[in-house]
Amino acid sequence: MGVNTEYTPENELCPHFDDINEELMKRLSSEVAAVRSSKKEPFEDLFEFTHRRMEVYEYGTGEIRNEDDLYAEFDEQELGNFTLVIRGPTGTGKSELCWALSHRLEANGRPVLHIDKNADLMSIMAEEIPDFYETHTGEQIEGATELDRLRTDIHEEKETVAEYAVSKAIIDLRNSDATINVNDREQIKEFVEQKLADLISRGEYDTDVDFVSESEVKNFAYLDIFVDQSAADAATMLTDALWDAIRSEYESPSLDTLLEEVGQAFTDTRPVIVFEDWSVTSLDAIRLRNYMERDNDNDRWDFIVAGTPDSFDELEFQTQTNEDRFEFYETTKEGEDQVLFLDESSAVDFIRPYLGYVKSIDGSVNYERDAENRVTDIIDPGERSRCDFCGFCDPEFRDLFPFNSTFVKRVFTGLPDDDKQPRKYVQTIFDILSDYYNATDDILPPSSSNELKDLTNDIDLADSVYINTELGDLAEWYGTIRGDEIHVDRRFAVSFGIDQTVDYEDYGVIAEEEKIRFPKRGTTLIDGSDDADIDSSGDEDDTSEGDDTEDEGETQSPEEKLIEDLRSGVQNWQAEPEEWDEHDVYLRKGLRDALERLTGGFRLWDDAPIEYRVGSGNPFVIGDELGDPTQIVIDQHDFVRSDLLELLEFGVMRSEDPSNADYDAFLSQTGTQLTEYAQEWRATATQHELEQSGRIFTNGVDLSHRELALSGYALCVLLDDPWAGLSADRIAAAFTDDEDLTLDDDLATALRDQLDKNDYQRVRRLFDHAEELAALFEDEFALTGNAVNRLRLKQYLDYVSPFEVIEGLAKSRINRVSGKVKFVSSGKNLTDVLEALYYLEKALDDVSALDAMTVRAERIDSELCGANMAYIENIVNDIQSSYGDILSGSQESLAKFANESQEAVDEVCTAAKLYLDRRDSSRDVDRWIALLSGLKLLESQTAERFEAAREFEVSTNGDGGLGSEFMEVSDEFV
Amino acid sequence: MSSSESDPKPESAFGENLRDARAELRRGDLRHRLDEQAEMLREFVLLTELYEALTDESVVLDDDVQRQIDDMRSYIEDRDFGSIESSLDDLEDALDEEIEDVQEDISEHRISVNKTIEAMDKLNERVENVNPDQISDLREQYAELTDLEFVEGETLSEERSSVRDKVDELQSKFDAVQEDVFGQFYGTDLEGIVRDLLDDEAFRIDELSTNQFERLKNSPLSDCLELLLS
Repeated sequence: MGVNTEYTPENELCPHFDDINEELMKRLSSEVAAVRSSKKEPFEDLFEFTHRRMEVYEYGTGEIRNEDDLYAEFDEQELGNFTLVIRGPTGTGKSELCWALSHRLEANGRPVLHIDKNADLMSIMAEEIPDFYETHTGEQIEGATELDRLRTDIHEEKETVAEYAVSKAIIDLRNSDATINVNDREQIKEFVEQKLADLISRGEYDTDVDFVSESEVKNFAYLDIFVDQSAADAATMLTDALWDAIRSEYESPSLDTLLEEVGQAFTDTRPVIVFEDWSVTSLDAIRLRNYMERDNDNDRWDFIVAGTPDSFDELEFQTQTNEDRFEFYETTKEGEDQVLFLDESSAVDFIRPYLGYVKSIDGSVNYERDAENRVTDIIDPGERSRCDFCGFCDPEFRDLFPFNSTFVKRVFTGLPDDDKQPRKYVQTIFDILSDYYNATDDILPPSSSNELKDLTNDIDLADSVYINTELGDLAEWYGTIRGDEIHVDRRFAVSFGIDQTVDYEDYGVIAEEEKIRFPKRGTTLIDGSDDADIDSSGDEDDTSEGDDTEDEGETQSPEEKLIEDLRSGVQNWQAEPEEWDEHDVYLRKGLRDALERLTGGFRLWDDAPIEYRVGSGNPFVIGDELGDPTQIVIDQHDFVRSDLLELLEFGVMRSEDPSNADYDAFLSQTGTQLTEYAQEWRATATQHELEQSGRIFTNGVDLSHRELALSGYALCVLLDDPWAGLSADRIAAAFTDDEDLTLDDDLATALRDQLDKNDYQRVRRLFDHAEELAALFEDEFALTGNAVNRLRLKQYLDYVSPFEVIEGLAKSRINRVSGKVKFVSSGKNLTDVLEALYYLEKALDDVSALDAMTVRAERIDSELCGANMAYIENIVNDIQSSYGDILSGSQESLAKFANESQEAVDEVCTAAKLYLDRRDSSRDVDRWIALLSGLKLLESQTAERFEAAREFEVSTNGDGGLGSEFMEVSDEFV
Repeated sequence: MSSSESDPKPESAFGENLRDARAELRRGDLRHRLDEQAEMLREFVLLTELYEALTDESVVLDDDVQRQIDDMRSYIEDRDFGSIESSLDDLEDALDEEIEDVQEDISEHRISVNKTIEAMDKLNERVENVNPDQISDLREQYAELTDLEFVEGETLSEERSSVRDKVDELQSKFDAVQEDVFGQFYGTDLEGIVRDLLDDEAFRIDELSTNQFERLKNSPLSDCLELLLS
C-alpha cells in the first residue's frame, strides 16, 4: 500500500484510520478466530502478526505445555487414529490454538480439514468431506452423490423423507425380533420431520440432536412403540431403525464410515480434521466418537477437537483408557477463567499487534518479537511510512493510538474477573475503537465510549473534574497516577478535541504544555507544584493504584467509608445498572427520595391535593427497564459523573443514616437535573392518570381537572344550600366559611322521598368527599390566605356547568385511574371521589315532583312574598288572644307560622322566586339550581308552616245583621 | 288587642287574608255578644211583664241603663264596632243587675203565693176538697214561672203577651183551687180564721162568735178542732 504524504499532524491525526479497510477492522475484532485466520489476501499475514503463542495445561498433570509441545504430539508415522482434545471456557483461545496447530500442520504438508463451527452434519458429510477428498486425491468419494441427494431432500422434502423413514423403520422393526405396537404413526412422522429440520439447522450442535432420546420415549407415548423394552433401549432401537432406513434409501455412509474411507485414501501422510467447536454433533456423534477411539492400525486420522467442558459430557471420551491415542489439554485450570498467556502484565503487549496491524501495512509499525512471537519492542517506523511523516505519537503509544498503554491495561483490569479472557479483551478494545471511528458528529474520545461503562475503573478524581464528563473520562482511562495527581499526555486531549473546547481551570485541572494535571479526589492542584515528567509507559503507577484513597480511615463514619468504597463503581453502574446491585440500590434510593422531596411527596403538581402513591416502588425506571405508564424513563447516562457521585452519597445517607442526609446541599448541587425529572414525572403521571385523551371524561368531552375541581366543589356548595344559588360569591363564601359543607337537611328529606335508597345514599356520599373536593377547588381557585380568586372563578362559572361536567364523566375511565392516586390529606382514592360525582349525577337524574314544586313555589310567590312577619305575628296574636276560645285550636297552625322569622320567610320567598325564575332557563346549571331549590322548598319548615297557616279560614258574614236583634229587643226601651 | 291603626302595612296576600280573617272574627264576636245582650234585654222585658202581671205593679228601668241601651243602639246604627266592643261589658253588667232585681221581686211575690199554697195543702189534707195533685201542680207552675221559653218565630210583643196570659191563667187556676179547698169557708169570715188555724195559730174561743163557732163545729173541720186550756 502506498503512502499518502499529504497527511501531516497539522491537518489530520493518525492518518492510518482515515482510510481504514472495513474488512480489516471486522477481521481484527472478529470473535471467531477462523476469520482472523483466513489466509485471504491482502491480510494473509494477519493471523501470524497477531497470534501470540499459547500455553495450556495438560489434563491430569496440570503441567504447562506450549504450542510446540502440542504440535509434537502429531506424529506422521503414528498408526491408528490420534485425537488431541482442547477444552476450555468460551473465549479462552481454543479456536486460536486449533488454527495455530492446523496452520502449522498444513504448512508441513498435512492435509487439513477444518470443520467450521457452524457447519451442519449433512454439509460436513455431503460437502466438506467429499471436497476435501477430491482436493487431495483428485477423485470423487463413493456415496457422495447420494449424500448430496439426501441433504437436498431433507432441505426440500423433509416431510417425504420423514414419511419414508418412519414407514421403513416400522416395517424393519416389525420384521425384526422386536415386538412393537404403533398407535400414532402421524405423530411419529411429525416428530422425525422436526428432527430432520434440526439436523440441517446451523448452530444446532449445542443441542443434543438425536432422532429419539430416552427422555423423549418417556415423555411421548406415541414413541414408546416397543413392548418389553426399556426407554433407553427403545430410544436406541428406534433411532437406529430410522437412520438405517434413511441410509438404505440413499445408500449413504455414516460419518465414521465416511471418515474411515477417506482416511484410508491417504497412504503417505495422515490427514488432519479439526473440529473447532466440538459439540454433541447430532446423529453420528457417538459413532464418530467410537471411530476416533477404536484401536485399528489402519485408521489414519489425526483429530483436533476443541470445545467447552460441557460439550464433552455426553460423549464421555475414554480419557483413562485411550491415553496413547488421546491427549487432553485445557486452556484454563479446571473451574478457573484465567488463561496462561494473558494477564495484567501481558495485556498491553498482547493487544499491541492487534492495534498495530493496521499501521503495519504501510510499514509504520513493526515489532521485535521473542520466540513465542510475543512483542518485545516496537521498531522505528519504516522510511516514508505514515508514522515516519506524522511524528505525532510517542513510541509508547504509536501502535496503540488512539489508546495508550494505560488505557488498554485499564480496559483489561476493568473487565469482570470471569471475563478477563482474550476474546473479550480484544473485542472490547475494538468495540471502543469502532465507536471512536464511527462517531458521526463530534469526535467521541475512546475514554467516553459506552463500551467502557461496563468496566471498573478505580481512578477517583476530585468532584470538580467530573463536572465535565469527557474530561473525567479522559483522566480515568488515559491518566497515570502521580502522587495526588493524574497526568494525561496533552496530545490525547488535543486529538480528541477536548483541548480546544474545555477551559481546564473551570474544573480544577491544570493544562501544561505537554501534560494535563488532574487532582485526585479530596485534593486540589497547586500550579507549578508538579515537575514530574509523564512516564507514559503505564507501568510506573502499578503500585500506587489502589493506594490513592485519602487517609481518612480514623475519622470516616461507616457511611463515609461505604461511599468511598462505592464511588469508583458509579460509572460501571451507569453502563450496566443491573450488574451493580449495591450501587443500584443506593443510587435509586437517592433518586427516589430526591424526587419525592422535589415533588412534595409525589404530588402531581405543586401543592397538589393529590399524590401518586409510589409506595415502595420508584417513579422511574432506569434505561431500558420496563415500567408502568406513570414511571419516567431515566437515562443513567444523562448524569455527569459528579452528579452521579453526589447522588450516590445522598442515596447512601438516605439509606444508612436518613436523618443526616442533607437534602438542601444535595439538591443545590444536582437540583436542576432532578427538578427536570420531577417535572417530567409529574407531567407523565398527570397525563396518564388525569389527562390522557380526556382520561376521566367520555369521548368528545374536552375538560380539564380545573373544571372538574370547580364542578365537584360547586355541587357540594349547591347541595349544602340550594337556595343560595351558585354564584362566585356564594362559592367563595362557602370556601372561606369554617363550616363544613353538608347535605341540606330539607333537601336530604326531599331526596329521601324522591329517590330510591341507593340513589339517596349516593347523593349523601358526595359529602363524604367534600373535604377532598374542597382541596381540589382550593388548589385551582384559592389564593393565599384562604381567599378565592373570584375573577377566575367567575370566568369559569360563566361557561362551566357542574352538572354537565360530571355528566361527562365516564365510569369505565374513572375506574382506569390508578388506586395509587390519592388525596394527600385523607388518603382517599381519587377514583372514589370521582365515582361519587359520577353517581351523583345519575342519582339526581331520577328526581321528579316538578308539579308539587311549582304549586308550592307559585303559592309562596303569590301569597307570601312581601310578608311582614311582625304584622302577621300581631294579627295572629290578636286572633289567638281574642278569639282563641272560639277557634278551639284551629288557629294553632297560624301561631306556628307566626313564629317563623322574617329572615326565614324572606328566604323561602327568594327560593320560590329562584325556582320559578330558573326552572325553564336555557342554562343547565340554572335548571339544576331550580330543581334543588324546589326540592328543598317541598320540605322547608317555613314553607310547610305557611302551607298549614294558609289553610286557616274564617267564615265570612261581613257585618250584616250585626246587632239587629239587640236593636229589635231594645225597641221596647226607646 | 292592638288596634288596626298600629299594624304595619301588610304587603302579602297572606297578610291581607289574615287581616280579613281577624276582622271577621271580631265581627263575629261582637255579633255574638250583642245577640247575648239582646237576649238579656228580652229576658228583662219578659220578667218585667211577668212581675207586672203577677203583682199589677210597674217596673221602671234604671235611667243609666236606659242611657246605655240608647248608646248601644247608636253604636250599632253607626257600625261603631270599637264603641260597641268597649260598651258591651258595662251594658252586660247593667242588664244583669236589672234582671237580678226583677227576679228578686218576682221571687218575693212567689214566696207569698207559696204560703197560701202550703195552707191550701194543709187544709185540703183535712178537708180533702181537691185532688192534692192540683195543689202540687200549682206549686210547680209557680216555681217554673220564671223559666221563660223562647219560642221560635214569636216577637217580643207576642212573648210578653204569652207571659201575661200564662200568669193570668195560673192565677185563675190558683183562685179556683183555693175556692175548692176552702169550700164553705171561701169568701166568708171563717176563711181568715181557717187560714190562721192552718198556720198553727191558736184562737181563744172568745175570739169567735157563736155563729162562727157553730159553723166551725158543723164544718168538715169539726173533727180536727180541739179545745185546749192555755
